[in-house]
Amino acid sequence: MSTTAPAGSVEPADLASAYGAPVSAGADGRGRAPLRTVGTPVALVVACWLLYLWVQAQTVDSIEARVLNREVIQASVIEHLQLVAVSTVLVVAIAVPLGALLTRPFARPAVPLAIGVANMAQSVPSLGVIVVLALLWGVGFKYAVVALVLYAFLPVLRNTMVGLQQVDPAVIEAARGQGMGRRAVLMRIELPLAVPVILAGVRTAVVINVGTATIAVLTNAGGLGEIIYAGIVHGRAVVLIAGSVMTAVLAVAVDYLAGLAERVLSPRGL
Amino acid sequence: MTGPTFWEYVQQNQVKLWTLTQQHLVITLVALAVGAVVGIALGVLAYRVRQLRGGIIGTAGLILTIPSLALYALLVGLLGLGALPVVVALAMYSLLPIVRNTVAGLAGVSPAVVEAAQGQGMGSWRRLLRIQLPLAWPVILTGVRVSAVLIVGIAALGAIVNGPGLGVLILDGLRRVGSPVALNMALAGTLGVVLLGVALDLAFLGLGRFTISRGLRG
Amino acid sequence: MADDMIRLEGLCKRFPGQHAPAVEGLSLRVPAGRIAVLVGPSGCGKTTTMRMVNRIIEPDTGRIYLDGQDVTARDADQLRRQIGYVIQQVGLFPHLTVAQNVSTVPRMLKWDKARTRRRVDEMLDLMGLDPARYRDRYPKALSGGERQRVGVARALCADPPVMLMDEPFGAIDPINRDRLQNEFLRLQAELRKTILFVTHDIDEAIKMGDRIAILRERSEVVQYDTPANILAAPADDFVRDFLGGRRTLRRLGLARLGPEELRPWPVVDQDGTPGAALEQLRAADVPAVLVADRTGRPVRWADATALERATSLRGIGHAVPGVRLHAPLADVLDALLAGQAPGVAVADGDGRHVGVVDLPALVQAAGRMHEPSDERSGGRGEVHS
Ligand SMILES: Nc1ncnc2c1ncn2[C@@H]1O[C@H](COP(=O)(O)OP(=O)(O)OP(=O)(O)O)[C@@H](O)[C@H]1O
Ligand SMILES: [Mg+2]
Repeated sequence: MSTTAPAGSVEPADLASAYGAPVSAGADGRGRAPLRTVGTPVALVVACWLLYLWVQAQTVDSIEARVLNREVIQASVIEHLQLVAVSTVLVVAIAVPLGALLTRPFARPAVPLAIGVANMAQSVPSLGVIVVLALLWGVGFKYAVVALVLYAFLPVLRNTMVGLQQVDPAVIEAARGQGMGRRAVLMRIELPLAVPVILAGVRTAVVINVGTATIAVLTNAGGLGEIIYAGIVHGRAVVLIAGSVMTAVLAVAVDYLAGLAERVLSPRGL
Repeated sequence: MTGPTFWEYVQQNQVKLWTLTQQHLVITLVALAVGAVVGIALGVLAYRVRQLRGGIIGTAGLILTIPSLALYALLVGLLGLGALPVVVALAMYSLLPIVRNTVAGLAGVSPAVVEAAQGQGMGSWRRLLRIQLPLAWPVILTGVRVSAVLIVGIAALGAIVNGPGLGVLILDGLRRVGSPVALNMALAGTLGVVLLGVALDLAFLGLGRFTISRGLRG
Repeated sequence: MADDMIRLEGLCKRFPGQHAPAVEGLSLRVPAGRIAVLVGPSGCGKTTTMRMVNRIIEPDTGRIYLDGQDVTARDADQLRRQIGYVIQQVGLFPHLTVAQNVSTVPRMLKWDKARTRRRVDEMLDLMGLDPARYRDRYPKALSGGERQRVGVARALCADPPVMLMDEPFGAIDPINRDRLQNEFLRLQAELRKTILFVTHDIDEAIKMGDRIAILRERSEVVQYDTPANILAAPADDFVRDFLGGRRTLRRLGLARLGPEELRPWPVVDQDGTPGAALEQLRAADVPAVLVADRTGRPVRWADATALERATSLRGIGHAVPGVRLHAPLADVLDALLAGQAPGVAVADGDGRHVGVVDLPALVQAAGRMHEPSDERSGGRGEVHS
């Protein structure tokens, strides 16, 4: 599909890594760019502050005031984060064990299929998943979480499988040769070695979840999407812009934290 | 639920579905074309000027982090409702894979080949157009293909800001919650996007057959 | 035999989807405390054989006995903890430090921390890696040779009686490989492990093996004998081809210089006169005499021309090349060729002059190598680095 990336430079994207979370944890995958490691928190604070100043300078009518106040914003952010947190935890809890299961020898034939489906699923519209699920089951937080889990599931599953598969077979043979049982090899050797790739998948899932959670407003699950949507429905540019900037700031902040976590949690020595 | 089955619904609404699919395809391709031109140009720039590389790729990555609803809404604030903000947003989203792969593709060209071209007296631009880009093309094309599959799904959400395409069908389905056709509409819209994604993926694979030099195909 | 530590009987393995078996009917015995080397062309089934011994690969048919016990059906993980395994590709755990890598088996066996730590340091010391410097490093910060040594330390750590070593020194440059081989042989002289050692380098096989099994496709044992016997009497053309053209020269590396090869030789004192020396030379009918220093040790060669021209015997002629008794014949030949002398002075273990070997005597000694012997001549233990 693509040629191998030259060392120390940019890894090409392929279907497995559209979000820029590389499949193999190269140097590029850790700190994607200097801008995003050192400057990010500062830039985000500045963005929030500018937004605040700008909104303060506008003359705000009653509709706008109803949305753009501290209580509403705070509640939206918390709802949004809850959606993301709960769905991400569920995704990891389901996808990592499943990925481990699928890479055991007996399931090997199914792996290309699973990875193929995971790649194809990139083009499934999040809007479609949210709406179809809402129509099938109902609306509210619970169902939004289900939709988010479904939607963010595949990147983690795929990265778990890829990460486990790219563990050097010689290392596994050495472990088996020292008398480690299959479980011990999985828990103590394979999974730790796959952690960077799995975490890259989790980071992708988090980013996707922040995005999908904005649409959860369509099914009454709240979140920052509510502010944006109010702006669209009422045709209020101030609300629209304030809502979307806040959402963008939240997304970048969450991605930044996920990136930090990725770095801290990856085993040293890799 | 009573009402038409999914298949009946599709048959009864062939014309409408076809029109929406075409709109969806057009908006995706237009955005992709813009994204490809800008992305390859940025990729070449990032490749040539090392100091800019991190900044360019980082920014393209940053864009992809922004939730699509937020980006659409932000652009609506600047450009108004309709197709325009959707196209611009999609083009922005398509940048990262294209830029990354352009840089990686160019970096993967053997320095010996470039030097040979230089030795024949090819100028820097000519070298880029005649040697480096054609050799990097398979990797670049993969980037474009990844972007296509990526933005075809994001395009559906454009319906929220009055953009055209299959997303309209999904939103209509949501608005008719309770009616028997609601689910059919949402399903048709969703599956239509997925099929379009698969078709685009295959089309780009096919395009590779025609546009990648036979010497590189092995 | 009761003291066979490893006994393989009729091992067969065919991988799914391949029509030819990778190993067919292999039987082999390795006596306790010895190194048996499996050597053969790439793909002949050496690694597969090793993997069957610790049951990474289950044999289709055949039995494996360790120390007289049938282990073919024993719990594989328990079994493997008693067999050190050094794999061809080293396979260090990249996310664990050197110390954690080396202590893999002790930790599984739940040794207490202090004992494990002591043992790890001991192992690293043994492999020539300073524990303080290497203990906490990760594998990526090691050179290829250091990695291989950590791999060997890991396999040795829980003191298993049996070791499987699959090309353990394969990825190392010739100089360091030679050093590691010597270190390892010195270690083995103490540890007396039973070792199955794989290589496809015949020189390494000759150097490391108490016995060599020459294998061809499907792990067929063409010949299994001591290095000296294999060199002396290759079983067939395959073995001959495998040993290559310098067979006799290689044997010279194995055969040792015995007292029967020595010839008496006239030795004159350096304070004597050239005339008297010339007379001795003529009487003994040799091309040159040895001139000894005050301690009686021969130091120079002096031939007729030199003696006729000289007024004193001090500093006359050429320096005398010397070897010790029981040196490999190859060293003797080397000294002979390098010294530009009619012979090489031989000293015994205490450095006393015992005689001279000349070229005819060396040729005679080489001729005697043709009779295969039961054990390797000279034996193990004198490893010189
Ligand atoms: N897991 C496997 N599945 C199928 N075939 C295998 C497998 N492992 C080894 N083989 C085949 O069995 C034969 C013997 O392989 P083996 O690895 O034992 O050779 P070897 O003697 O160790 O070679 P080398 O010196 O190159 O390491 C080869 O033809 C190889 O292709
Ligand atoms: Mg091998």
